Amino acid sequence: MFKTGRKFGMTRRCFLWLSNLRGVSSVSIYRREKLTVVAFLIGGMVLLNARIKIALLVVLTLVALGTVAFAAITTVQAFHAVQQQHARARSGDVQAIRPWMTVHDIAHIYHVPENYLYHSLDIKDPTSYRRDDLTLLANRQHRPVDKIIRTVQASILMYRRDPPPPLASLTPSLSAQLIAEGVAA
Amino acid sequence: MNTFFISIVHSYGYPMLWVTIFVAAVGLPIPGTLILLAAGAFAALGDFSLLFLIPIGITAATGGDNLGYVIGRRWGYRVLDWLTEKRRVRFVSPNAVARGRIYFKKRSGLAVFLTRFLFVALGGSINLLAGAERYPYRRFLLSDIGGQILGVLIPVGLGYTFAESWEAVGQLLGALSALLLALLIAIVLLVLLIRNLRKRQKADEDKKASQ
Repeated sequence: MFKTGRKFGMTRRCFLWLSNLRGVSSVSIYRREKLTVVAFLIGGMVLLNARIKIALLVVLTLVALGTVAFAAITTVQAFHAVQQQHARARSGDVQAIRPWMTVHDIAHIYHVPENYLYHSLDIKDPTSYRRDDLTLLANRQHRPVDKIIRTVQASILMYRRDPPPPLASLTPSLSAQLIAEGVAA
Repeated sequence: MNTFFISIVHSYGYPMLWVTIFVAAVGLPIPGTLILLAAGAFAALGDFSLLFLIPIGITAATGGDNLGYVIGRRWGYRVLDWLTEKRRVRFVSPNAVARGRIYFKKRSGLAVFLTRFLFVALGGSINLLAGAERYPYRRFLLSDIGGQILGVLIPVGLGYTFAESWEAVGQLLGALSALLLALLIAIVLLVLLIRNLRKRQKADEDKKASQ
């Protein structure tokens, strides 16, 4: 019996431990049958017969098929999410604004002047912020990104409701007042 | 972490894009496909130009793959030799490793090609394996460039088309990849199960015949 263990790379202690396990106590019977090496068990190899190997394969196949079903459902849900998100963005829904967007991107998507948005965010020198997305912009201004997004959303809604006169004619107090009215609304 | 890479690509432009795609292609856990998807979206919004984006993506990805191949060629064979050494306790039998190596040699080109755009997560490992197996460099390069053209055009094209909703498209691509991988594993397991059942049936029939 021990020679069988040595043949398959087990130490003596490991083999005796395996022999004492419930369900593996008849290792001496297994060594006379055709054996298939299937798996490891702490420091050695467990010898399983063909029936157990098939049972294991059945279980693994069922698990794999279950995973396929789950992945298929997730894919369909993701497809619906793409359709919804795309429709929202195309319809100009301000809730579709994301932290990865730059002010330039938002101006392009929502057809709002870029300078108007910079003004609403109280940014006097937009040149240095042109390539920053809302996350970076929020970090630089030491404000939470959610607050930046809400400010941008409010200013877009206000712009749509009541497009302001050309920016050159806006005084800082007037623009702040217009934005505050928009936020309150 | 994804947001970090996308932010720096957005801020620092083409050079950072090239570097991140290169590093992702070598095999480090950077979401290269997602970054290309985002870059396509940024191109649609006017931040990047497609004319520059596509060559940058292809050269960076191919460069990273080649580096992985060189690393595999230089050091990979030592790992394979270690796996096939005789030892008391093995994780994989030498026969299994030898069969795997023969199988890979037959299908290396296809493996390299498919892991550029379909099973992208395996791309880094396949590069190392191709190098370790001394897969001819010209064939590797041909399969690599061919696969990477698709590997760049698909995400950039999708990002460009679905600019405002590229994040949702990224999640869809991830779900599709997982579905394909799960399907492949399920098919392999089914084939193994059927083979084992047939082997057992044949063994039973032989046993009955001998009795």
